[in-house]
Amino acid sequence: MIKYILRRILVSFLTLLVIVTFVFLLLRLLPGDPAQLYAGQNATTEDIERLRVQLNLDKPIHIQYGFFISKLVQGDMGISMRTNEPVWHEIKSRLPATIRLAVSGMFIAVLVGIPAGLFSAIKRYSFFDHLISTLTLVGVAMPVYWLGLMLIIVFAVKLRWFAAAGSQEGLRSLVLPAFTLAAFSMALITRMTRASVLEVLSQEYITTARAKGQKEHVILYRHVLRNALIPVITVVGLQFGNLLGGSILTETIFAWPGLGQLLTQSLFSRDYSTVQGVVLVFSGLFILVNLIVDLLYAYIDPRIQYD
Amino acid sequence: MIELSNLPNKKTNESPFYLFWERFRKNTPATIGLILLVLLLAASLAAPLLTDMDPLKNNLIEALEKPSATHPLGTDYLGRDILSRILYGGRLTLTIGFLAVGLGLVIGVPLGAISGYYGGWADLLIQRIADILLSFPSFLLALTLVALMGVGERNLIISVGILAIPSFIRLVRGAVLTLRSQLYIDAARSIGAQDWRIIFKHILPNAMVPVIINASLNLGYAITTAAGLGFLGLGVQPPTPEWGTMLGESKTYIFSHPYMLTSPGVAIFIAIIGLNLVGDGLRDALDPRLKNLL
Repeated sequence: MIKYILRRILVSFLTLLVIVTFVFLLLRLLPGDPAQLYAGQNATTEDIERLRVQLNLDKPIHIQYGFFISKLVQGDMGISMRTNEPVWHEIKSRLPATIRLAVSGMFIAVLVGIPAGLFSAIKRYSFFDHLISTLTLVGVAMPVYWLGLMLIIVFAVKLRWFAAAGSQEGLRSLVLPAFTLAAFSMALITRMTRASVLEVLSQEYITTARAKGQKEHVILYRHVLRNALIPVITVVGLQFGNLLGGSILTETIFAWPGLGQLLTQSLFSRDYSTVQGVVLVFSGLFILVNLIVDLLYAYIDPRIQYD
Repeated sequence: MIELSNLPNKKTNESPFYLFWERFRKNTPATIGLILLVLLLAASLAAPLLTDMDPLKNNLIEALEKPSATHPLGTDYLGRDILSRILYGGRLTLTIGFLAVGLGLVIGVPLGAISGYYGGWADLLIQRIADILLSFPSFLLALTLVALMGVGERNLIISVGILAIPSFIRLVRGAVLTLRSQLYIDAARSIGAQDWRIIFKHILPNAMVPVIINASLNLGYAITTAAGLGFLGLGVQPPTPEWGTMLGESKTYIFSHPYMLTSPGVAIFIAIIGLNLVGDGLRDALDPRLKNLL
């Protein structure tokens, strides 16, 4: 077990290193001169050369890489090409908004998805099962950006229940973007829970539990749900990455002041040093969540093979 | 002794394709999906027959008109007919999806085959490539790649196609690993068949079922992603009509002219739901055992 955990952590660390390298190369692979990008359109040749020396861009690439890594370890992601402020400051101030949105989205997805899937499986082929199945079909096929826009039209413009943009109005601002972000994962979690519960229900130990006269709700909670949720946890973990990706679009639609919005804004203002930082933080979060899910999985399901 | 000709033989045509089609046809959701897709494809192919409007022609006098008899879906902020833009845009949206998944398939399948057939360091290397591609949130990867390569249809197809590669690698590798040890492969090798011949003639044709299913399921994802990039302004560039780009262009009019946003979204939605239904139907009809894998 310890060996498995250590190896899994090592793999995550190596993956992170590969991503850091990719992000480092990002700026160097872009067409154009990085020093020029930092200096801006109107910079003089002297300005550009001064920046080149200042940012170590005149050094050979492996030295630059060394600088990049050692700075990153100290929490220095360089300076923004647009504001000349440290990239990490901007990211740090926006990270909580993104986490809040993603966690709320996950919360909604799990809170709706698991009961819906369970119910759908217990009442198999009933009206509600068909209804839920149809809704999951819609949820999976609905592009996040279109769902967001439609929700704004209906619930913010027509009904005026919720805010259409920003994050200043507390819950009124959070509901629409969180639901938009959650929809796809919610549908997937529902599907997965339904399939998994149906599988467990067909097991012999359920028949045994019924045969010995166990109450149905005890069977459901103690025997069915506990076993059925194991594969669901993997889906939940994988969906977190999807939520991070989806937050790029959702935040742009709802003008939510998080990392996703920062990423699109930085792409358009050609602020590639900020783009680097955001890509790093997003990927780092994704790796971290995957690691946690894998470890949790090993803990929950003792049947898992550690080698 | 039983006379073979006396056996009940209702259908003369029992080719594998016929059997597959029988199973697919009985699956109502899959049939609905297929109909939706055929309609969508036919409508975009027959665009010039269905509308005589030019999808690119500006007409500021008729700008921002609500749906009417002349413009069934209304006009956009430049007075362009939305229906014709949806129909012509479908060509591009669907083509991009097909080409992107095609690219993923053409690169992923051979890599997966090499990985599974040879094992060793090639396997290790290819699996790490797949791991790396999977260690980014996928939309973030597509976005970063497009930003890196610059906007444009070709780069859009490449970056969305790259996302599809790892799933093909994984799938084909798994299939090859099980097929590799089959007796008929040993037989082929014993008569001196070369590796490439064994892979392409004997192994890959037998691994095609999961590949086809994966391709159909990936198509929906590729279309959503490409349209999502278009929505952000990093996909197909205006004035060319593409569903995602159309949504992105209209989002400023969400408060005043919400109908502009409805039709491109409905079009994407129908395409994805059709593809998902057909993908699930293909899986169930071709190989029900894959239900938990794909």
